[in-house]
Amino acid sequence: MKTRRLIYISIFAILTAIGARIAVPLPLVPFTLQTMFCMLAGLLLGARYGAASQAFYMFMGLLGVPVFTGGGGLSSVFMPSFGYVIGFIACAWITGTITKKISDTGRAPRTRDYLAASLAGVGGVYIFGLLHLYIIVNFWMPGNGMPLMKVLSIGFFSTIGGDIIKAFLSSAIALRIRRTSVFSGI
Amino acid sequence: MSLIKGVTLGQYIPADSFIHKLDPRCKLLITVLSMILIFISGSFPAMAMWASLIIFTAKRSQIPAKALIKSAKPILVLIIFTSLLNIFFTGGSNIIFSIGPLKASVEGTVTALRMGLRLYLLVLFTALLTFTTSPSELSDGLEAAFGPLTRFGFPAHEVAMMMTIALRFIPTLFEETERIINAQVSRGADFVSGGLIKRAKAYIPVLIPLFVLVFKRADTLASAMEARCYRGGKGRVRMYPLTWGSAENKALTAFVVFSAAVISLNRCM
Repeated sequence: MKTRRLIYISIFAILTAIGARIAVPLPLVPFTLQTMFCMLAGLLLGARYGAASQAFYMFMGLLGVPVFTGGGGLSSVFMPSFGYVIGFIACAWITGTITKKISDTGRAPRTRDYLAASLAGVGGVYIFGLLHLYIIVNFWMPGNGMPLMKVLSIGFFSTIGGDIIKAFLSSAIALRIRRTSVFSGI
Repeated sequence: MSLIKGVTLGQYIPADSFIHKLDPRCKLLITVLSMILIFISGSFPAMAMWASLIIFTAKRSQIPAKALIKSAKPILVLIIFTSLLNIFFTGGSNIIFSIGPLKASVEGTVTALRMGLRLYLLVLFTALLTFTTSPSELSDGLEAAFGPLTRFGFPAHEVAMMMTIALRFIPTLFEETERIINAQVSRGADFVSGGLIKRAKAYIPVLIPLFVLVFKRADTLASAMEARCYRGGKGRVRMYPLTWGSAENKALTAFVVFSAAVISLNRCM
């Protein structure tokens, strides 16, 4: 059982890497599927192993495997978008925890439950993403920094719409996968 | 549509050099030290010394200058942008030139150059590590480096094993994803027109088969590993054990002597 867990954690990290590559070409908003895979990691693997898969994704990128949208390597820490990668870990954990709470009540999960869990997870991504973005542009990068509203507009308002759609997608997909027999849990 | 174009595994550039052959633990240690040291020694002579060390290391490890410059390209745009802001908005009495209300001062230019260069050197130094060390070596090195943490519950072996699995599966799964996308396109799937919701929905027929395939592969691999009696890190032996020999000692000593010189130079200036 332990071997399966190891493989699933590793494979969900790869899925997030695939998500970084699948971008719907839209002006202004780079719509990648990364957040969707990290919500799915939380929904399907649970809080602990979902978060582990995203932590492993970050680790892999830092080691220089080009899994991030901007490649990989230790220097990615200085990229303004790195905070979102940290947020993925929180996202999977939050989503997994809420899913567990719902299934503990004993009733069969509905799309609505999964959607709530995913949206809470998206919140986690933004908390870390925006915090890191703010620190990078104001304290690390040379220059006079950027006011909070500007940070919010480039790091939040421009992408939140896409993330809500992804939350819908991932809850629909997670439910469909749960109904089939391909995924028996870990 | 080709989504997975140009994926190379790691930035690793294989070559037969002294630096490539160094123990990954040694290279990791030097990189971490250098990141701290570059951060605390920010004067121009000190940075010139760091730059010369980077050039020397790249030369010795046969890393083409082009690859090194390219690795820092994404961050370079950012550096240039913020440096420009710095030049014009730092303020100062010695104005070089002004464009309308924008005034470029000597102080601003110096600050911009200093901060920009420091960030650039940091990026180049970390890039050198990933250029000269293959990801699997790096994961071996980290397993060893994090080994002592196993006592506190850090799964050092498991992480290294997952790394091995991921490196094996990344190319395969990327290829399979592309195949699924092409298959759906040939059946008339449309990913490029319509609004955001329509485009997002178009990915469902890609994602469901992708998941089915991924879970099947995961199960097969689990069975294969269990059939070969894999039972975790305890009692496992290595085919190529890491060795810390005189080469590593020499490299570390050279680095310590060099950085002591840079730090004292930085103090004197």
